[in-house]
Amino acid sequence: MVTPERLAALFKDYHAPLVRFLTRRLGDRDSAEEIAQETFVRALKQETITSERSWLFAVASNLVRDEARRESRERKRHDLIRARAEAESSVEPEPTTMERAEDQALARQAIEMLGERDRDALLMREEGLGYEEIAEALGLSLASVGTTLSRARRRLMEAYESLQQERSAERA
Amino acid sequence: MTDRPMDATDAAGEHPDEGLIHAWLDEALDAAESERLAAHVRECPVCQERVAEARGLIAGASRIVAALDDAPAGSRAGWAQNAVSGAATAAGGAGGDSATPVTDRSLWRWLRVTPARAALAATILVALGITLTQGRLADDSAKPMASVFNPQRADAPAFDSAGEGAGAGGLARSERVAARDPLLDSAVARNLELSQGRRVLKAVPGQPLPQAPPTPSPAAPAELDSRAVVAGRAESQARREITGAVAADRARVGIARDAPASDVVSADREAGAQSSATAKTADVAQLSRETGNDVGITCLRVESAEPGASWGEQTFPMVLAVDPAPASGARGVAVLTTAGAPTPARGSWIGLGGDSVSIILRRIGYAGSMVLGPDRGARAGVAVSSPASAQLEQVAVGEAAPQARSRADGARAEARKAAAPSAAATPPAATATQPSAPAGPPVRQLRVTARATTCPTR
Repeated sequence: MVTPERLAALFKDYHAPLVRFLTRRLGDRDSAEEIAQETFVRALKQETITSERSWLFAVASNLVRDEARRESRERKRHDLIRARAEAESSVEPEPTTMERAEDQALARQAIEMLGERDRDALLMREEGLGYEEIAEALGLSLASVGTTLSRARRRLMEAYESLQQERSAERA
Repeated sequence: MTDRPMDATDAAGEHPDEGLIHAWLDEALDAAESERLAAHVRECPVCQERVAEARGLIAGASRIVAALDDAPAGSRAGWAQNAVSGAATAAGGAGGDSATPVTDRSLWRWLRVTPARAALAATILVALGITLTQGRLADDSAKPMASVFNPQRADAPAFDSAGEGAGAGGLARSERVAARDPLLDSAVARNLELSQGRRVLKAVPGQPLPQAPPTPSPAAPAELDSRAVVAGRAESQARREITGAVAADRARVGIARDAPASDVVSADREAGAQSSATAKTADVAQLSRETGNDVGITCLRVESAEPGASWGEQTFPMVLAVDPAPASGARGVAVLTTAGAPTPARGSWIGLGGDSVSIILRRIGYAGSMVLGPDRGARAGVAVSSPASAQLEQVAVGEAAPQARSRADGARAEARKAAAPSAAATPPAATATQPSAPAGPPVRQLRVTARATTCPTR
């Protein structure tokens, strides 16, 4: 069982990186906070954790998937209502923030175009995880982490540039 | 990374593949392997290009990922669909619902109710109830949340990670030890701060509230008139010195702040109202940025090594309670005893740039100032003060006026050229605003040290 002292240390060391990772992963800080909290609760119930950081990021990734599936089911039930609500709530963005919002939207779209493993590996790496930790968290071989990351980076750049070109063409 | 062979080459078998290059740039290779790859890259133009490209990809991807950090709370952008579809393409192919708009919001998002949220809310409510039952005062908003994560509370309910609500057991199985864990509490407080944003108190824009003039001492009614004159002059001087440019001028040429009033006023008039207002605003803003103490009252404990030394009639050590920076104008300073007792003396806190400040004493019967250098753990400076009679005698000295004005003009022109940083580059400048040697009683120049301290309860 993880001791309370150890859990406190884990929380102190990894809460902020984990929330950032999840925010980047989900695009929503509320959800990121929730899942980060769930992750630490699970850590509390865990008998032993050998590689703490990779364990936390792996559990957080799994929770994202679980929660996503659950919410997806809800979404399907309420698609019609959602569409109506969207139509009613569509608001033109502030001109001053439009450019920034567009950049973020492009980044969000581009990151979502990656395969899940590529995306997780990239976001974990950006959060400072080492190759060994990424391999452990994602169940990859150590040798394939570099390949996964290089592919993720290339595809992310390609997707982003492609989206930018589409956006420019629409404006033109 | 020892299990990756160096011969992980591209299809042609001549060069290290892209993954290996990324691992090398990510410093994930061991020393020997890294050196081998580096040696190869030095000799291979093809690989040099690949390395350059990989560097670009790494930097570009980091930039794109960093752009995701602007995601506000409650803006989950159809991530559920994307995550699920992403899972289907977990093998690495491009997937996901790229067409899902970022503004996609479900009814549940509108209602902001999710199972996890409901579980959290229930847990927090139960924890809060337990906390109140135990008679603990909730001294901060982090406590209810802290109990959620405080495994030392054997009676705290478990958070059901499956998101189905607060379950029974869970944390209750933890061993009961110390009552609270301050480290964990602070971490949870930080968590709350991240989720709710930092609560910052800022001054309401507009004119500062007028302050009542210092109450004249009933012990000396005969001196009331002269003291009122001195107090009025101190106030008007404080208003004049609010601009960083004026303060910089005086720092440069060493003009006494007690120079003839007409002289100083005419010099200030030349500066122009517009530039003065701009400089004042910039000065206050800069001070707030540099000191970071624009929230709430901050206190400085000021000490002097000289025995029996005083500023005005207040002996050292003393505590200066500095008001928050107003939208415009100087920050008010209350002079307190170290026990927190108020004294009749007050002051005006004026930034000089470069984190140096001047504090103009506002006390009937006295005139004085204190110049403190930048805060490097402590602020070193000089304090001067003198009885009002000395000030009145100084006003009577008129011959030095033209010279002082020309010095001020020249210095002000220099200050304009050099702009604010030049003032900042003139550090503590403890002698800047000291009164010139008066013809009357000698003015004591006291070396003082000011350190941030907890404001005493007044």
